[in-house]
Amino acid sequence: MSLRPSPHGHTALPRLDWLRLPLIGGFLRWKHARLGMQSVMAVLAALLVVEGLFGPELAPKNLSTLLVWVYWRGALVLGLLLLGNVFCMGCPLMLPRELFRRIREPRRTWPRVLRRKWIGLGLFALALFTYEWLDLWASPAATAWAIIAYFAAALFVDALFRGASFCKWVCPVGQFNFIASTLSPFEVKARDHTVCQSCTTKDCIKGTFEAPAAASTTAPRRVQRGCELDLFLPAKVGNIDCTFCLDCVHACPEDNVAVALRLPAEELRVDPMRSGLGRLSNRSDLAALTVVFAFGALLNAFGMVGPVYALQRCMAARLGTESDFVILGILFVLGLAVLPLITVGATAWLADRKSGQEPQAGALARAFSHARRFSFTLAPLGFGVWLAHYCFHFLTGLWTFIPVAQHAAERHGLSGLGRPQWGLGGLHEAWVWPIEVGFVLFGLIGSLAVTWSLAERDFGVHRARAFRPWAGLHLVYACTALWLLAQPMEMRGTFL
Amino acid sequence: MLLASGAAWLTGACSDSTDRTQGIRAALRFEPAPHVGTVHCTVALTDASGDLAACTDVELEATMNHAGMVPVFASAHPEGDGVFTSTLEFTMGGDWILFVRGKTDDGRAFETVSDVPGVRHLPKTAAPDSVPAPGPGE
Repeated sequence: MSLRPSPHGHTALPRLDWLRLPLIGGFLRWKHARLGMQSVMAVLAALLVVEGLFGPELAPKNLSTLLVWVYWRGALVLGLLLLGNVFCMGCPLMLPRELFRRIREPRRTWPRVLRRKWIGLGLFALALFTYEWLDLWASPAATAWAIIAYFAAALFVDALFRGASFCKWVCPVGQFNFIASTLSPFEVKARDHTVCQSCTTKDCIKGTFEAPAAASTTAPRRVQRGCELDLFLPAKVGNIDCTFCLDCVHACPEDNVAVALRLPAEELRVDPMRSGLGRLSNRSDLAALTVVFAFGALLNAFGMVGPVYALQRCMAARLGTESDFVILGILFVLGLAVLPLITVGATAWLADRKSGQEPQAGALARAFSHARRFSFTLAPLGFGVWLAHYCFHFLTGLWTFIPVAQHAAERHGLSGLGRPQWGLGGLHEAWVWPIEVGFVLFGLIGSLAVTWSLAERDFGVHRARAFRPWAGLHLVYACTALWLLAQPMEMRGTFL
Repeated sequence: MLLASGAAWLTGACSDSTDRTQGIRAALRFEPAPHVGTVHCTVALTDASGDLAACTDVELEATMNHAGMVPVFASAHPEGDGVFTSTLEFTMGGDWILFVRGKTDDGRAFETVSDVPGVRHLPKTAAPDSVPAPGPGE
């Protein structure tokens, strides 16, 4: 079996399709499957808001902070690693908009000038900053308000604009999931492209319409929507922008859609024209999002170890300010903009020079184009660090929901769960450490493999010269991540 | 019914932030200075007038304010005159919160809350001094 990708990124792998599995396939084909998942998640979100606002003020004893920052984040990255973009599939944020749209359909389309990921990227960086600035992990009330704000923002955007504008252009969690899901083993794709070639109705993108009555002058009513993220299935490549909503599955009259096994990161090794995206090599916004995704992983991990506090104290002394906002703001600008610009820019310039390109006018533009193509190689490493970090919290706090749930039940007069067993924790840090190392190495191998593929594609015989600088960057990144993860965890600044 | 449930939830929640000190204040002293590992803690409990308070069933709970933290519990041994000693295991560096719970001499349950900021990982060669925690907090 060859693992060399086709131009469209489809390596031959054993056929495994969620939709063909017993029970799971039946459930996912059920028209209201997503609504069912969203409803469960929405009820859970409502309970977390109530618990966050009115439950214990201490974060480790509040279900809101525990379930959001320990369990949801862990489940999110593990879901992406083992399955695909399953959180977007059951995202409860879409439920209010579905209800709203039963009353009033939005008429505006998302402005053309905003059809790039810059807003989503900015909000993703802002979410990382807010998490540190407001100590969200330590504040049940702030966590509850973050949930409320998220629901309000999603409803506001999707009440104004048609389609899945919030998911595609705004949602910071969605942008995280889109980049991370390039490493997922499953993808929504056409089962047989020859079937698509003979298709005339294009239901997967247009939706399915009820046949109008013979004498009717009204427009036919849509009974099933097509992809709201503008991904036309025959030309869809990979998981970027796919929310696994399965609208295409329900729309396709030929039953020609699969949620199929594929090689993780394969979509990063090829650069075909992609429906709804164009070529990745032309998308500066997606390249920047990938870079922020990767450097954000380091910065987020940096925020929980001792050296960051030493650095913050040093900065506070030198700048003569104790403002968290200012000091964190500077750290975030350095970590998410200055450092990536310098490292990725220098690597691209060096790789371009080393690969036999003569210095000439336009060298800067060429280096920029090179950086844009190769920035995507940071996605596997970035995902490896997110996995290592979130799984550390998830696994070391694996059983903590038991005493917190017992405590919540006790507070409300339900004694059936027994007295809180506060001693329950999770796996010992020493056991989790090899898992963290494994995730970072998994990311490193993925990044190196993708880099080699791109170097082969773009530089032919000079591939090794183009490969080395990027491999160097990936190694430095991986070593930095391992050093950060090896630091003993420290939690500060939660009394402010 | 929904309103009643909401009111019950709110009532339960509000009780969480009520003053449970019963006028008791806890002064803490650590030997050695708070660091990751085992630390001996001396707790002096005083009443509203500042006199040492005879209390019983005193126990300590140390935790950190972040989701997923596993708290550390320790019972305290009476040394007489409202002074208790205990041994705590700080499992992580950073800012800790220490709850002291017990019963006053007339049987009322109390709970005090103190901050123990800046617990550090010690280098293996370091020999920390004895330092009091920065004042009792409520």
